[in-house]
Amino acid sequence: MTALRPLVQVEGLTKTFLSRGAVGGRVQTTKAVSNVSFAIGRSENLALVGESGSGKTTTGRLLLRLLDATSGMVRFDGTDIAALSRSALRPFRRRMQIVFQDPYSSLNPYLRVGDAVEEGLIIHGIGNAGQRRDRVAELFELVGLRAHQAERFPHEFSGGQRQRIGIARALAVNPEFIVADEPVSALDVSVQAQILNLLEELRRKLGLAMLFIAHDLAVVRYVATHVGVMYLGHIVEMATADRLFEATRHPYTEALLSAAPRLELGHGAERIVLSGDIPSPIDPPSGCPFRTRCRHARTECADAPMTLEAVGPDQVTACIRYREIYS
Amino acid sequence: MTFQTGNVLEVENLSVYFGRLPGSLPVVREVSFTAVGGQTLAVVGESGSGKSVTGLALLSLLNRGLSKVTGSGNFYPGSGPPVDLLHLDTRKMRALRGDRVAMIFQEPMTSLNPSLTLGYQVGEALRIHRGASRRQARAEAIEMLERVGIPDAPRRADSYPHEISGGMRQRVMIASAMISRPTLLIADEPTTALDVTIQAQILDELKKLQEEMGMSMIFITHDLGVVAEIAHAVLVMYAGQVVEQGPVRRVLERPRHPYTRALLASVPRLDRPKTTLAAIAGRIPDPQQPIAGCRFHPRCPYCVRGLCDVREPELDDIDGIQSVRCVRWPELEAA
Repeated sequence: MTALRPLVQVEGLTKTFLSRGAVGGRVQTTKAVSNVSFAIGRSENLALVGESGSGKTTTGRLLLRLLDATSGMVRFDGTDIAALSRSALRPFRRRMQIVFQDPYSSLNPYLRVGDAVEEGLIIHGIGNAGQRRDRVAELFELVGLRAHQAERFPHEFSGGQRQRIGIARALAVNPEFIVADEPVSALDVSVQAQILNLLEELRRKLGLAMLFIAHDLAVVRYVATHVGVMYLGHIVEMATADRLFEATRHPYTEALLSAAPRLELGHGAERIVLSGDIPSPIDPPSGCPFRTRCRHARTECADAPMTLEAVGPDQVTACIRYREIYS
Repeated sequence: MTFQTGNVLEVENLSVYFGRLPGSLPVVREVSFTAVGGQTLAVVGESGSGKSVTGLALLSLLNRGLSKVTGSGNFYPGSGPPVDLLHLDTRKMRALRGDRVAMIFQEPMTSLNPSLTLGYQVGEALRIHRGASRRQARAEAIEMLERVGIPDAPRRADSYPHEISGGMRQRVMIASAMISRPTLLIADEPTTALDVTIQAQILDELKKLQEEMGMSMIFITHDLGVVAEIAHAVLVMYAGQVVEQGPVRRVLERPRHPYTRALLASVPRLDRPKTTLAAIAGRIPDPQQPIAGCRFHPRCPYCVRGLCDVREPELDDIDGIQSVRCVRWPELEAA
């Protein structure tokens, strides 16, 4: 999606989990991520959106190699990190970091928050004790906290403040790429806005590439430069943020947008209420994965293989009927 | 069927104290409101606002040894004289709960019994309160499951909670609350744990049931978008207090309290041009934290030193339908 070589490039990424039923012991395969491809350039924020079980979190973990891919490639600055050994991977770890969803469970309660932020610096052998202390102070200021608060413990902070600490920790080692996995969904609205604004400011200021995982399209709209919509392990639509919100070309994206509660009273927009639940990823529908809940589904949707078609220079859709539907 | 219009619940000066120590501060402070038959009152607030505790206090679901509840809550059960929910002995409250007054919770997994079938749990209220036989209860449970949109209900009635999805579990919770056709339903964040597409289904379902059965609903939520979708009236809570209340249209379109205004401005929206989100500075106070003057003043952009941090504002009636707890509201209105 960028002219320059993107920092992160993903091709045909697939992850299959094997599970054994509790009774009977038949091995089942779950395709959590199916043939996902995208690229993220510096200063870009690709948001992956989807409902639970769509594979967005798994994708994020595959990118950081917190999970090993079943097949496919993850190129970071030109190197395929999916194939690297643990020791060869080490230098790349510093360059990619993660911010977790739950600021309560992701900080060690026995560790002063300054020490938690410093930990990455120690692990990667950055600076001496004095330099590290200065760096921690600088990071606290950067994320909107005060330097002296580094001496405190996690329980002394509110959810929003803890999320700032989580961000400071991720930024400590000067990463170029950050995966933010639902970073605001555990926060109250008034505080959520603070964190979204902070992430946006940091991306611009530091030129960070970001993968922003979220279930809330309204939230995504405020931070993403690009958006990928996932359903049952597949990307079904991907575009620049402006295109995606203004010229949707997939019925699932449309349904997601329509289902989000709106503040506007009597907005008159027809609500698309999807019937039923997301099908089980153990036994996904043939053809288009969304067809079982899609109001535009035809018989051909069951047969056509899942491929992404370019709608324009910065938009792809998996819907084979998009021309008819959105003409 | 009791199709009740008029007031179903009149709550006056409800306060809740945690801890029995003398001098402990309330987590819910003198909350008053009225719930009307066939209508939904949304109680909206962020964490620590006291919205859930308010709901739990009404049904005596707080640990009595660890909390103290004051005030009154007159409930009109359809026939007979009103009863004060806040001063009801345990036996009478049990007779009411799950019958005339029902409640649904956020976590459908933890509120269903994992070792009982869905049909058994949905029919339970009828067996307990109406002396229905197992067979009768099961038949009505199946009917109710169908009504809340569970496909293949007769077969599903014999399933267990782990066999169905989160959205289905919440439907089952709703079915078990609605089977006694309650006069009042208290729903505490019933869609928060669900995906948006499922949330839209559940909200539709609740609206439909309300239209059919005419129940009054108290809908506790943190999501102003959901309020706009489902509520007729709204109560905005902050740090244990009601800061604004009124009909939903008035409160969302002409919010008078700086907190309500700021909260609305901080909601990411799909229906407006994208601008920078207006965050509310600072943090949500602990409900028991003593704060002099207005409880919102440390975060309020309109705070005037010497006034807002000194004088505790009253809940002012603006025009008979909307009230606001801010000493500066007439000034801010004029500005």
